[in-house]
Amino acid sequence: MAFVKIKDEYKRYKMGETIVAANDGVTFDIEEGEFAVIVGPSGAGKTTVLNILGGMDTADEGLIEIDGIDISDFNDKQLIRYRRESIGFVFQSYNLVPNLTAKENVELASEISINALDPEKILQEVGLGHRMNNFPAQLSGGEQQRVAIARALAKQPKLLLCDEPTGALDYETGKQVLKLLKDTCENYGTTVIVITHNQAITPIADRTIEINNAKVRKVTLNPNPKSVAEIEW
Amino acid sequence: MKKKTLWKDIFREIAKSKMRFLSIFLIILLGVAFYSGIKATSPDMVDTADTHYKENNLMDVKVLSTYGLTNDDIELLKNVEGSFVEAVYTQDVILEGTDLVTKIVSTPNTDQPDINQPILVEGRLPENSGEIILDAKNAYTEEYSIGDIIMFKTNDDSINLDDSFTGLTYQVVGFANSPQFIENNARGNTSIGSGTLDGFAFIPQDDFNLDIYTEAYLTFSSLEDLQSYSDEYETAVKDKQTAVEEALSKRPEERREEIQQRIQDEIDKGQAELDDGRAEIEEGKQVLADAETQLANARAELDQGWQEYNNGVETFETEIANGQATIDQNTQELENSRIEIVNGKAALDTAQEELNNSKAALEQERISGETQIVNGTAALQSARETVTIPNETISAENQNALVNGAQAINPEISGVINGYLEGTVPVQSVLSAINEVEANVSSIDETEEAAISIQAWIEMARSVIQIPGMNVPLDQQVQVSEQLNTIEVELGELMTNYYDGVIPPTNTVEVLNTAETRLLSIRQQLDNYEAELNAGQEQIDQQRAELEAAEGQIAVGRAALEEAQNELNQQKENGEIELQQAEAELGQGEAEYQDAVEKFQSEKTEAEAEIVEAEAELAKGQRELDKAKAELDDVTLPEYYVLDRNTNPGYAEFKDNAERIASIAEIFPVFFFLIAALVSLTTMTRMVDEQRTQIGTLKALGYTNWDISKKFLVYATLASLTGAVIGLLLGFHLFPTVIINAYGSLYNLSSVQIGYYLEDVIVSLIIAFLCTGLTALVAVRVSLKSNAANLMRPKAPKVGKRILLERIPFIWNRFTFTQKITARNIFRYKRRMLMTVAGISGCTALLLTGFGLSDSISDVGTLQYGKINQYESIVALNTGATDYEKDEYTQLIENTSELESGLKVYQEIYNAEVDGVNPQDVTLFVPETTDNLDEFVSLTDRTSDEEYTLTNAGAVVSEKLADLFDLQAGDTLTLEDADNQEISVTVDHITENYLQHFVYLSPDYYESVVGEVPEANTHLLNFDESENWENGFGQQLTQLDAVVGVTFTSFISEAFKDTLESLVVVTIVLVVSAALLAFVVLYNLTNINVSERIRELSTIKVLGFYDKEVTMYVYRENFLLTLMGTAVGLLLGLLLHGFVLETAELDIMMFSPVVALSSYIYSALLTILFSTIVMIFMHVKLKNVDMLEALKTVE
Repeated sequence: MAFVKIKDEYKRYKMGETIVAANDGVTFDIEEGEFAVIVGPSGAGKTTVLNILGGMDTADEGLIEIDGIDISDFNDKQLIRYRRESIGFVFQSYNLVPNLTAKENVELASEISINALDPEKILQEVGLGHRMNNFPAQLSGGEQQRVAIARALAKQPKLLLCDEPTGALDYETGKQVLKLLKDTCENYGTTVIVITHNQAITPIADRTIEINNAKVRKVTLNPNPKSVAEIEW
Repeated sequence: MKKKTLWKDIFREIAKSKMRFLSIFLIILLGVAFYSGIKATSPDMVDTADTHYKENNLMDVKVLSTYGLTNDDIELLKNVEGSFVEAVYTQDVILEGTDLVTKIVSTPNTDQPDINQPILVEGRLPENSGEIILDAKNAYTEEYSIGDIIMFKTNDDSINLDDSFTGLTYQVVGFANSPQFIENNARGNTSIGSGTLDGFAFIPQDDFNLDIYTEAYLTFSSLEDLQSYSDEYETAVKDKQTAVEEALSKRPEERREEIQQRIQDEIDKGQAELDDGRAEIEEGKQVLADAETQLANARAELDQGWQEYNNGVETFETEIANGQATIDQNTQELENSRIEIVNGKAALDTAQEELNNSKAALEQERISGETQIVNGTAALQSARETVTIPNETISAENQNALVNGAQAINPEISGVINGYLEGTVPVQSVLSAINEVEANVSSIDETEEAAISIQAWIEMARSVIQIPGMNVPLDQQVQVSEQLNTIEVELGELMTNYYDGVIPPTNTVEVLNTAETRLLSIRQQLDNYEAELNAGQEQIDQQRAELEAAEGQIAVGRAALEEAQNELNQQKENGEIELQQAEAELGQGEAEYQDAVEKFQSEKTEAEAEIVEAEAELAKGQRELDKAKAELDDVTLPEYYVLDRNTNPGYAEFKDNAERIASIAEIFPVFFFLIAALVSLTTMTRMVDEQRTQIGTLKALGYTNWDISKKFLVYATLASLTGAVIGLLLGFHLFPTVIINAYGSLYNLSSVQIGYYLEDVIVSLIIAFLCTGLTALVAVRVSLKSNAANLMRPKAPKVGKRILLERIPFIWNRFTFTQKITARNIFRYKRRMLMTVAGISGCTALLLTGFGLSDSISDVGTLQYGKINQYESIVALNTGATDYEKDEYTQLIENTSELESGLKVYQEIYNAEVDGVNPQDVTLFVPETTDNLDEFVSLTDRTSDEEYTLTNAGAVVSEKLADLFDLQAGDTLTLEDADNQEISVTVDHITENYLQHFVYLSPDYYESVVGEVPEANTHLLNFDESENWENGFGQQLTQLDAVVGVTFTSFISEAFKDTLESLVVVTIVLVVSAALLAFVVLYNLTNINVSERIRELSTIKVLGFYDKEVTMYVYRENFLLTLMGTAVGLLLGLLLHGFVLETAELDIMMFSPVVALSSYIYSALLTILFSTIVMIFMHVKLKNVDMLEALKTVE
């Protein structure tokens, strides 16, 4: 039984007179502990998939099963609870609360989680032990993204969802962040799903799902994923 | 160039941000509506009243005179330039059954201008004689309906209503208001009934039976176009008043002469009639006197006869009584003797009985005594027989041997032995002597021979000498002893001792003999006693004989007495017959006399009745004459009063009310507007910030700064100007209507006159534009200073910073995580924090001012009439009343037990004037005594509650007067009375007071300042009774000539309360408006807060914060700011309240500056309530925020 199972999922938007499908019968599975990459061009519908997986949006049709639980029929409150307990998000634009220090940003998540990790410890693990009391504005982009990852991990989520985590970062920093995500997957056994338009990242993934034009075009399993250091773009 | 797209963008922007557009629109609308509305209310009030006056042709001037107005007067008035005159008859009456004190006014029967005429409310005007139209106030409409018949009466003896009216019964044909009485309740005062007029009524002029008018109403053509209450009008009326006064200036003298002449004619005629009548009466009286003399003589004769008869009766009765007394005395004496005899006999019988008893006892005693003697003698005999003297029993031989032997031994023993033999020494003594001898034998140095002989003697002696008991057998001894014991125990013991040899025989015998003698003496005693008894018997017998002899004598005396009694009775009978004859003769004489008297009496009564009648008529004539004479003297110079509308109840007061609203309008709406401006300013600034990117884009596209600004300018102007226009319409209509209608319950006025005031319109539009359009323009200009590229980048969110609090770890470390976030967020947006606090505090301040105003206003009546003026009634005294009238008053006061206490006071109105301050009417208040002043008026310091007393050190001055004239203790205040006499008083203390100005002086101090002793002209009374009682008491008082008028505090207090309650509606309007503003302000500020932080909020939503947690994340700050704002607002409100009070206050009145605790609580709670409602709105809004949209990566 797959850990993440999406079957025949549809999401349609009304654009004036016409109806546009963002997801048009998307189906794929991801196993527990995998490092999965969803790749595709802009507007392909990959963010929609991620949002639906993360409980931020609901599908119009289809089955979405996470760890054996179908979330497709969840109401708002159930969805919030699902996000609170099971999901960690990392955004392209970090979305840290500017008025809170790095540590406090992590605390923001750990405060509401039942089995949260120690914020200080997790910040040390992402290599920010020395910058814990800095405000986001005092941190570089990579550091901010690492805070965001720490914040996502603090809740010990079942699923870590990352939307273009390296999009706003330069090459080196981007690689560092990717490595952090990959390490997390390996060390904690967290299932990580990364969305990117960057095909170059796919070699490090256990599973690559290609989405184009609202449909899954190809799912590739990679028995021997490369390390982050080995890839280039 | 049309730039159509730009305009499209503007309208799309409006459609897109409906809420923001609406909130600017609403805030401006509220601000403008409130500003213009409150501003317009005061002029609208004046306009409404003015229209009402004009429509109903209210008089400008009213003329009255103390002696009414004659046609001459009216003609003079008509000649005043531009005048229309209407003269009316009026008379105050009481309506039968309801006791409503009503002023009856005539309606004209000519086509003169219709001044002050009734405004029909129901029914029709009176057209025919006997029809009446009543006051439309509740007191009448509740009691009467059309068709009812009413009757007039009065309680004033000096008024005869028949003189005033042709008829006293009227049928109600309608109800009406009068332009003279715009106030719903007050109708002024009267000299009848309870002293207060309940209302008015109109009847046709022909139903009045008066030949002089009571009042004349005047209007002037030159005043028609002036607005009532305006300064122009007031000045013009003053001029007209002066003109009328001038026209009438000679009339008082003329009128007095007319009146005096008329009275003098009447007096002369009356005097002649009186004199004739007096002579006739004297004649009749003489005839009566003669008849009376004759009767008196007859009476004297009769009286003499009666005197003699009475003397005879008296003598006869005395003699009979004396005889009877003698007989009675003797009978009594006899009776006494008889009783004595009976008593003597009884005593004798008792003595006899006692004697018999004694005899019986003696007999008894004799028997037992004899037995005792016989037995005793026998026992003594037998005892004596057992006693022996030794020399009788011992043989002579032995006696000799004993004596001789003893002599040989020694003389001592020899004596003993001799005694023994003769029986004088007891045996035991002898034996012991012998033992002694024996014991001595060995010690005696004798020869043995001698010793032997002594021994032999001893032996012999012992054989001879025996103890007596040895010779008497023992059983005999016992028998003897027992027998003797029955006589005397000592005797038994004696014998035992004798037998034992202890007592010698001679002694024994002697004792026994003595005992026998004693026994035998008993017999002698008994004999003596018997002899005594016999002597007693003899005595008794003798007395008995004497008593029987006395009984015989009594019987003889009784017979003699009975005879005397019979004789006396006979004499009495004879005497009585003689007396009866004499009495009968006298009775006859008396009857004859009575007949004569009766005849005389009936004739006399008739005559006297005639005389009394005649005298009464004379007295009446005299009284009338006296009255007329007194009137002649009393015809003081008539006074003519030329009054303006201010004497109409409610007229001036309405203006005061309008002015009060005007004062509130000075400050309140400005403050209101200020808050509205502040908030729209913030909103516009925020809008510009949000549109930063677009500004940059447009700039990059090459649009000019003006083009870019235009969008915001149009947006803001459109919102604010539409808001302002609708606000103006709403304000001009709503506020005056609501407030004037609130006063409507107090005044009967025509419909509300709505005015549009250009000044307010312009001010409103300018401020509205400044707050929005100009702000937007400035904000855009500031943004436009940056270059396009910069602008297109999003404005970096505000950088997080450590706040000051974090440097105090002691506090910071105690905060929970959420508290830390809240604290930091508050300080993050300092400007918004200040705006929020300012906005909320402003609203709270407005609320508090509204509530506080209501507190202050409603306190005035309670404080003035509850705390300061503690008396229940004030009676105005007629200082010119006669002593008799004053006594009447004193009696009524003393006999009214409900009255608790009273204080007479001299009160006079003085004028106080100082440069730069309006002249003020001041009541000089001088109590007759200061002892119990505190029961009537409380003189206290408002803040320290220190109580003052009146001393000679100076005056106590009411607070408002002191404020106006800037007086402190020690200052001097100069007052001027109606005759321009100035007095100066030193201010000693300043006392709490809310209505009118008072200067309190002690009587001594008054005297030292004025030089006169104050004469009390008012009387303050304390009691605790119902309104009904007050009415009754008031009626009693007004009937007295010593009373000019009565006012009850309850009535003033009620009336005052009504006026002020209408101001409460104004405060409600203030509170509701402030509440609305508070709501919009909070909503707007919160909205801005949320939109500024939408990304942050979306983030925490994504993190899995529940909706409630998200709302609280923002709202915790808002709530804290609300609390801070509320606290600041309460302080601010207190200041604003003080300021508004100061402006709204009239010179004559002081509001209580105290704001009730509850008002603070309400204001705070309301603010918090709005904050909570806004939170609920925000909660819904945040719940629906599209977090995905917000989190979209900014490219």
